[in-house]
Amino acid sequence: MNEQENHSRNDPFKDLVHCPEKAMEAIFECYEAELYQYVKKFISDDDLIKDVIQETLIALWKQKEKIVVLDTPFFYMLRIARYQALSIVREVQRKNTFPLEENYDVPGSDKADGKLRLQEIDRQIREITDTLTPREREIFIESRFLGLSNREIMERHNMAEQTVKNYLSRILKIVREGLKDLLTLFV
Amino acid sequence: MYSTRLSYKAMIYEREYVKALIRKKILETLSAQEWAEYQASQRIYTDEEFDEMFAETLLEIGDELPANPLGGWKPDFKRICKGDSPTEKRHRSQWWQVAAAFAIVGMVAVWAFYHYQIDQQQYNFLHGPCFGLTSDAEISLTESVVFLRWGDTLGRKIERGERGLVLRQGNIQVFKTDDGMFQLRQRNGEPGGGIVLETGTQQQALVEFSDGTRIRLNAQSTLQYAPEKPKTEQIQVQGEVYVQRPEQYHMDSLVIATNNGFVSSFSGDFALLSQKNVTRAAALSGELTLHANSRKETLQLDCYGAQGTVARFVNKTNGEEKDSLQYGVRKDPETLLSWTKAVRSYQDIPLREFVGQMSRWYGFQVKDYNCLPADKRITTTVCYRNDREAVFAAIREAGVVLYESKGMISFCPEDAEVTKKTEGRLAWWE
Repeated sequence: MNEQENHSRNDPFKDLVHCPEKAMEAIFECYEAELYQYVKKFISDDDLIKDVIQETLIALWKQKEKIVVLDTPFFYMLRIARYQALSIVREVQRKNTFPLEENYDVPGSDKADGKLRLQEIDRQIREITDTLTPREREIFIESRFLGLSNREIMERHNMAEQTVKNYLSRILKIVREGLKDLLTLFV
Repeated sequence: MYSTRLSYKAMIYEREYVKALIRKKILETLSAQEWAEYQASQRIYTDEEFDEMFAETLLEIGDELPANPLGGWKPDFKRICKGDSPTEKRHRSQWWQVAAAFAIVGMVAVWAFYHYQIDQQQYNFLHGPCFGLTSDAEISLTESVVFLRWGDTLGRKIERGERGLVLRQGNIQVFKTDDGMFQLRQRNGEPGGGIVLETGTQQQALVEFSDGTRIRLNAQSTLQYAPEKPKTEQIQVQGEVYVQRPEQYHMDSLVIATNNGFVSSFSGDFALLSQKNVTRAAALSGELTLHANSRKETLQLDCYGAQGTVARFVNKTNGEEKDSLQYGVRKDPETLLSWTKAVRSYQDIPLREFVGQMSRWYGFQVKDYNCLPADKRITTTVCYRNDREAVFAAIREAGVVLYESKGMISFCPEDAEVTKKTEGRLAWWE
């Protein structure tokens, strides 16, 4: 049995300290498909995806001592990839070369159906947010519909970032519960 | 597990259901309905929660993921182990190229600016009523004039000099701001049956609703506002308008009724034309939905220049009236707003369209548009204060003979005979 076959899904991370160069190659080999699919969530251009993966692995290398002791290094790696991908998206957006919105990957003829369906669900979500306080509603809209970051919301409402997180967590729970009630009502 | 078939009840409040959507998204098997649910699910979970589900799903899919998605590409491990970032390196190497390009672009820009200025002067009227105005200046709102109607027979003209509260009718108040904009406000009180704002020839007006929505009326257009009516009838327009809905999140959609349909939109700008048997809407930003009164289908206009038309026609075999919905993409959407400008520059547009726009502004009638050659186009610049003779001259310069009489014009050759009989260029067509 060769060395590569010895790696279980989490093993490559364990080697980051003792055999770091080999471990980096093994991590890529093991998780290339997952990394690719995850980054594709933010960016559709393959060349940019390659850049993100390269940057992610560099960040991983720089933090190898920290990563090796984590329980879920894979999740941590994706978080780094997310950060790298969003940095690139922001940079490209500043240069205004491609839209942030996600590619619509369903057949063209069904596009209208999908958009209508999304409008319908949005309407249901809006109905539920009627029960929130005006501030909660505002934060919800800014975060989930206008795409503002927690930091931007924090500045707008003059509150701590953690408070924004707490607000959002509570609001989203209410919205999910509300959707559940709304939909089970008609079953 | 929801791996095989997803319910249409959008159970996106359940993590397992969302993970099934994510799985389909990754494997590119999402249907349109599921795409909508996938998008919506991102709104009801925090980014961290959604990412966690995404990551879990990726691990669960495992071997089903396509191998070698990057076609055998490998990261540069030597550079990784040195901690050398590709983007930093690329930026550094690009720096000198950028500096060199900058110098060249600077020289070209100076040259282009000089020539652009010369070109602009052609549209900068040196004499006449539009002296000093450039082609991007809008008609000043201080010139806004409307005729306000309410009740069955009451009405009055709001002159350009009037300011402040100009009408209190039932539960509606109409203000005219110092800038000349009309603001419609709802107040407590008995419904008064609504109001109508009407522009005449060579008049325009801008109306603002309390939610920030603005509707600019071209000449010979009307806006009817009756807040007590059902939502699809509260705002009705006839003629030509430009609608601007601010870029903020609206809980309710804006609905504007036309003669044979209606449009709805949450935010964005669009141009809307409402005539007896035709509704035409074109998206300029945001998105809107075009509905025909007699059909269930709708048109989604969600990109710059997307245009939808509802046209009513009579079925020749059974005499039945039907509406057809048509989708198209406008090559030069900005020309739809030429009428908002003081100096209207038209670059190679269909002559029929030009004549249609001028007929709305000046109030002349065209005997039969079919007599205008469909392939004729026109490039010209017109000042909104010019008299109609200047427009007729521009039409003639485009190579079309027109005959004019008593407010009506014709392009039909047979009408040349009528003008001859009347010993002049003027005639009247019954």
